[in-house]
Amino acid sequence: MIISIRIMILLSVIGAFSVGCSNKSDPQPLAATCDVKMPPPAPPSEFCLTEAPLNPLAPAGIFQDPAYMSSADGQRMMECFAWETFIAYNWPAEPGCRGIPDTTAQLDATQKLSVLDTFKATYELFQPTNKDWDARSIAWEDPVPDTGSCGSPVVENASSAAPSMNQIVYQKSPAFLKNTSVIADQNGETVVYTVTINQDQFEYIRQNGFAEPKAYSFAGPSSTTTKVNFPANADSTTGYGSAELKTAWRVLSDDSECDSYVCRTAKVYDEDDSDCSEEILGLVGLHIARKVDYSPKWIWATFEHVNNTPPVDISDDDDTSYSFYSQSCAATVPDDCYSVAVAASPAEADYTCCANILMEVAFLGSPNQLTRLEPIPALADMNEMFQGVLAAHDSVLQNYFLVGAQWAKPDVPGTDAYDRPCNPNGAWRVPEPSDGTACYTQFPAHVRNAVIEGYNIANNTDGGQSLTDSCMNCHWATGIDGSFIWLSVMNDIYELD
Amino acid sequence: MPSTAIVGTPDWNQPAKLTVAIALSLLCMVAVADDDGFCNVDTSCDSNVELPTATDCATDDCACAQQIQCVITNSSPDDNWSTIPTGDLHWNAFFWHTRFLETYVSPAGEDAFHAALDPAQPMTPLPAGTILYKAGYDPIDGEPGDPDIDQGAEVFVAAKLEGDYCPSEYEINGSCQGGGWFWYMADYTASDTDPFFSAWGKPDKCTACHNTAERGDWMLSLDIQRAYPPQP
Repeated sequence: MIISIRIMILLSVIGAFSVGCSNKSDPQPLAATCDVKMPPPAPPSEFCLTEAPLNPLAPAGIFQDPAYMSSADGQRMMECFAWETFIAYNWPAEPGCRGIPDTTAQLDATQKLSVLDTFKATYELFQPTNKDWDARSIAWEDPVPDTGSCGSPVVENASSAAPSMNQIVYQKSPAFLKNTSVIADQNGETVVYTVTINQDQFEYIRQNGFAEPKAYSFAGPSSTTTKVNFPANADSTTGYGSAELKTAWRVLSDDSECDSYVCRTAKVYDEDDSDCSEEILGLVGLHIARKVDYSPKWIWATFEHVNNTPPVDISDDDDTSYSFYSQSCAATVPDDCYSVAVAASPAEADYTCCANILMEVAFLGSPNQLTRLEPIPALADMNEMFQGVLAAHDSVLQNYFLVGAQWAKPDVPGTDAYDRPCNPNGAWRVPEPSDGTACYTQFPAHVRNAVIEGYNIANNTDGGQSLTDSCMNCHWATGIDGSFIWLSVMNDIYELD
Repeated sequence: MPSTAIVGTPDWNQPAKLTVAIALSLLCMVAVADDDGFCNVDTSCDSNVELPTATDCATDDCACAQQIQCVITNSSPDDNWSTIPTGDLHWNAFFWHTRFLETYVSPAGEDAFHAALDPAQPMTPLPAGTILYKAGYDPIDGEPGDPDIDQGAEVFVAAKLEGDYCPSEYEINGSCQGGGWFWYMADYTASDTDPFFSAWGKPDKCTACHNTAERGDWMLSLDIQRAYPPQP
């Protein structure tokens, strides 16, 4: 039996690499055999005050409990941590391995599959429509499955400018809004999304049986005796702690824009007609949520591409071609956008120039007009410092910026302070604590990734719009230890057979 | 609190209209959504209409939505039902529902709803007969300001019926999308005499958000307040 399994694995490896070898791009790893052990995490930088370290290894966590530092220092520490994680996750991956960087590689202009590409897609662990699914038997290093409607995720003939992605892309709605809304660029192309998890989160879910058939529902594991508590770095398998990631991608017409985007060629699954199309995708948004010691409410970092939509103080002579913003629209914005925002069933034409309107699925092909509403909360000097170093390496990563890194600061150091927020807000606002109740403050209060949460704004009674929400507001209002993984896998399903 | 007009209430003072309306009503009770998937709101409800069962709804979901809406109309919730604790008429800043909302719970579910707000008690699913009814209003003339309470905009309903409503296609991994509720949205913006259901049954527009609230019997107010009980 063991021999036959080995033969199967060997055949699948040969198959995977024989497909890879026929590509125009370098053979890419379909995680299969890995002799490299996960290196221990890097010690965290403190504040990234004077330099932007480019380290292939993600930091283990944060170096100090933020409860004992000022909010300004805490914010800088979190943003330093966020950028270091972004660099490490976008580092070229060790071929044949999952989650392990090639420490001999460099960040440069070459497009290579990154550590991020090798994390586990949620459909590899969760198959909610398959009652015979045996999630416990899945190993982190298992090859990417090739049994679904799209077959192998490897795209033959992918160009070196846009190497083949390592997973099927099948989510076409932002957040949990399947079949309800989409976000589309100025070409009317729908943004597509992936959700992946790292090894520590994978192992925790798998080993606890939280991915077994009928062991979970929309609200997470059905067990009433086991409370989900994802491991932080110190008590995790690899020492890095749990991580969940969401990527957002524009569909590009060809690979000519790949000199400024993280580019991949991917099979995009259309559930409506059970069909797959091969698309060239450019990364426009990335959520990274990590649970580490000293931050039990996770650290919520989110990045965007610089050409998504302009800063709130766009200059008159800005001639950038933004992907989700039309200058001509901004100049001719209809007077009645307010009524569009409040209409029960707005007409398709009204969407085109009105900002931050929820795009009906029925209006596929219409572009979104997305605006920032507020200056981005992340520190400008931190973004500039990392972008500068990345530019010196000629890496496309120079075209991304940290929108924000949200974290929880207890008002009084102590675990009960993490029970409820001092400054709840947003759509799913939780009741405020009474005076004297220990609580945590969410810093910054508002964070919004335009291409993942473009709709997540408030329409004010004065006719304007504002930001009012954040990662933590939503994830801690109804999430399971802050996670919507179970909701995500129940809502968006890619069946492997 | 302004008195709110319940949209869709027939004008009983006009006999001709009433006759036509009754005839239409009888037709509607056996109607299913037409070939284009259209389902109109019955604006001339039979005074004896009762809540359908989940089995009825599985057979004809359009007629089911019509019957439930008639039960609500006949009940005059603004006079006879209570608003839930967070349900008084308020400005809704967010993308879902309408800009002004008022949320009622039917008498059959009122006690259970309030009991369910207590996290010290186990979460018991709300009983059959419970209707959560959101009356939605636009601002007057579409401008910021007061709600146009004389002209309802949309209604949003979740109804718990005898036998849980869960057609097999909505059952995933042993759990039913949106729970055992029958959901619908009705649009009254075009004309209060020609309203229609914009979605009914298990619409993604409802379940997309409410699927996050399974622990509160799919009601966000219950789920959130059980996790974060209001403090004095």
